[in-house]
Amino acid sequence: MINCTPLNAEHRALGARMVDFGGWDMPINYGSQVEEHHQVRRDAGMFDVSHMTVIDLRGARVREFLRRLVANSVDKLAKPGKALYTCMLDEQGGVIDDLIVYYLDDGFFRLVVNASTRDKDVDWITRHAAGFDVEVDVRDELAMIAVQGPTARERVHGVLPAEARDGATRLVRFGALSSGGLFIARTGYTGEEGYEIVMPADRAVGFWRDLLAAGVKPAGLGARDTLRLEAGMNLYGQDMDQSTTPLESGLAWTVAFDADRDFIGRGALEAQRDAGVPRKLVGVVLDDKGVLRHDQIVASGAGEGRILSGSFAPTLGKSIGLARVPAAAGDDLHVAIRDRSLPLRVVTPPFVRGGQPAAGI
Amino acid sequence: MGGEQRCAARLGAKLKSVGGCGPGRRDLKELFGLELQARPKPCSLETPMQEIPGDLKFLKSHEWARIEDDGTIRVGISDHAQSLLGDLVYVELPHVGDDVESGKACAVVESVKAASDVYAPVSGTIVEVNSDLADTPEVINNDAYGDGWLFTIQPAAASDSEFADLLEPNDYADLIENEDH
Repeated sequence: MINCTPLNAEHRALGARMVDFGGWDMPINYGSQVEEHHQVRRDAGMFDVSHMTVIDLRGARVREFLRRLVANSVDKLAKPGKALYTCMLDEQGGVIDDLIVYYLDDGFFRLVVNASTRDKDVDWITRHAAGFDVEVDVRDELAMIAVQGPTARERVHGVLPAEARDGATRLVRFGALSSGGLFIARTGYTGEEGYEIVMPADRAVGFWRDLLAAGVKPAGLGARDTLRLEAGMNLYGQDMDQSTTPLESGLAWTVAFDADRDFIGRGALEAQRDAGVPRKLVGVVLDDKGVLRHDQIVASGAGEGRILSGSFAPTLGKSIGLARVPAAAGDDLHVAIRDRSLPLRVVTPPFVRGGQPAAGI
Repeated sequence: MGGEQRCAARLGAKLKSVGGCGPGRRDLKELFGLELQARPKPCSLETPMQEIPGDLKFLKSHEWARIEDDGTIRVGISDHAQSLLGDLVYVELPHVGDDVESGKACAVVESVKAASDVYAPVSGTIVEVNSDLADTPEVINNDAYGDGWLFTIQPAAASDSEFADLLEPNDYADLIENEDH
């Protein structure tokens, strides 16, 4: 049993190579993953991300519920239409998923969670929502298209109805609006400007074709992965999962230890913080020839670590990765690739900023 | 993670060919810890495969081999293999003078998404490697049966039967067709 998004036939007509992506039949590329990557860095590309799960939460106590459910503080969401990136933790501080929370009004928040974690997320959220009289609505009938790149916003504006266009033009980063059945968020997973646009499934094909006509080129999940890694963004299941905490995953910045807020996992995180976080996540660059891959062993003076995400970075022409290493590890890291031990350069992500190698990369 | 184990097993079944397995090695592996699986395409819109030259022989693991006029054997990966791997970004070749054994890994090709062993189709000694690929590995994507060759082997005296045992082009075409279904 495989799931198809409403855009499945569009992908095939565009010559996509389709893969089974966590139970979804998705385009990995439309010919060249590297060309699609450059297209997004230099102009504009679009991704079908309809496999992601949209969950709407409604109820008078929905904010109170989210103050408990997620590790970042929804108190930062002061104005309707603002979004927040956060982790959802279990009682041990393990990351159940990372997600974006959109504040729509005082009785209505929207979550967008990963496809691969859908069932456990929905179970967890539903279980905890019961105590707050919050209604959980999984919006399987919605499709989502991400349009990303330096020209993405103006190209999207060209295909929007007037009211939506006026609103979108004024959106701040991490802001969102609803207009005429479209939910438009100025968010993304590439490090570029752009939107993620949620719409009813029956409008997806028309919208996709309008974007194609406006010069936006399709890009597959392969390019999405190299783009997000260059942008220094974590991938759930690879860079963190339920056996790791945000503090050892480079996500401490997403945890708000604000006063009087008892979020799930807080006690475990505070205990880990006070005892000393044993491992850390660092960005690494391989200046030698070769490609960093998930699970390669990293040697440091303080013990062994692992490559989490690793790939060739098309913008840099060399390989980059995220590695989890002992907290005491210094900058003298080596990776084992087959029979060789190659030096790694430790850097602070992002690796790419504004379409160019970041300073020092 | 349990998910990865499951995936490695399924990949092994599906794409044994493109993955060689030393201990602890990770082979053709999809980007997100999930599965890369060539899926059947029910519609007729798929780009036709590049025609397979008739003077080639193949390993099930998607290497091609061709006898040159001087008796050496030129080796590369098939167009089908490059298409599965996607954009190639790095090639690790043997050294001239290395002895190789048929069926054993002797080179590695890496795409953005996966690393894959290349097996020697016959036993012998490496006499030439395509060093241009160090800077332009994408040539394999563009011309797998021509400029994208990897190395040539001076076959060992006893390797005639090894070459004879390789797959004929039609058999290889059948193999990849079945793999896709």
